[in-house]
Amino acid sequence: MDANAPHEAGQLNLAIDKAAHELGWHPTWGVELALKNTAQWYGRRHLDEDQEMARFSLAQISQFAEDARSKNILWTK
Amino acid sequence: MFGDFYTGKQVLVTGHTGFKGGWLSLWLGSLGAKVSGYGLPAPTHPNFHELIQDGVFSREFIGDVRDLSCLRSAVERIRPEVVFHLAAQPLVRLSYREPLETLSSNVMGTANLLEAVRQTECAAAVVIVTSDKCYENRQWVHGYRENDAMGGHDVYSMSKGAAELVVQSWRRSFFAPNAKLGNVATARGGNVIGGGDYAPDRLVPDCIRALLGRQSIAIRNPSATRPWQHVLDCLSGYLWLGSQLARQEKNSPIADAFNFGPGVQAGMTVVELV
Repeated sequence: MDANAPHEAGQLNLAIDKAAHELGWHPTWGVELALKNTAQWYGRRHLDEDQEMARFSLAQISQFAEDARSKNILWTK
Repeated sequence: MFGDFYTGKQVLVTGHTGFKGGWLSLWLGSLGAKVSGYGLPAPTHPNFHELIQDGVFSREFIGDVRDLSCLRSAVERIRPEVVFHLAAQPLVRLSYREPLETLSSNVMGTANLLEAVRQTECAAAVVIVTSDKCYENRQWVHGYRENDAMGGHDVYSMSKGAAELVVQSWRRSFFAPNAKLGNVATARGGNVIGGGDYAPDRLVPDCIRALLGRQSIAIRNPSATRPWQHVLDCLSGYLWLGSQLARQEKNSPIADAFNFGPGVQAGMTVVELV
């Protein structure tokens, strides 16, 4: 714990019922896939030293859209 | 995706040099949108923008959202059909060192963007991105709803609540009654993670830097829970909201505030993440 840390609010969760009801929006990746994809991106960039990160990032977008489609989320149509 | 709405659309992204703005621009470009960016030079090196810059943007304007005339002339030239406003000072900790800059960028920057759209009578659908920190934090265990009170302890949080009030006022006073203007909504995202975030004082980038440099890191608030969400999850909400704002009638009920968070299942404390 950093004792000199300035005040930051603790717990705060967002209710997402409104986006679900009025927009038909739902989350696609849970926290585990969020972390996995984040770790893979940094590994690709800094361990594999990939110079074409736009391509890799676009592949993550495609995978995300595919996962959303398999959940039948409205925006994927 | 998004009902093919974005193909060929003129879209303005403010803060396109930032982490979230970069991912949004990349996604919009892949959907066939004509993406213009307006923002300051990327604040860190390395940064996501330099990795994706080639081929994504039809136009890039380097400018400050606090400069109304510069912003207005960019809007005038782009004539966007959709605007995503992400340009802001995004760090809680920096708001303790630079309170006035945080206030002016986040609050006046939002007012300037709305003024630029209004003064040029641009019919764009506008998505103003704020934060889950716009809410007065009452340490509730349940989720915050869009009609809960705005507030803030630190200047960053206050600036996001204030930006929400700016949008509400501009919508009621200027956008709703003017048939030449489009729908305006706000999007309140939670903490996002994803590749290409190199900002200081953010947990994931701090961890990545520590791992790469084989150093230990100091955790500010280990017991804090943060609703972790991938940047693409948040952006899928912004993009869907933008397309619906443009397609629905003027003053539709969705010209309002929306939370885009991970839902309740993803709560994880900072120490668990590390």
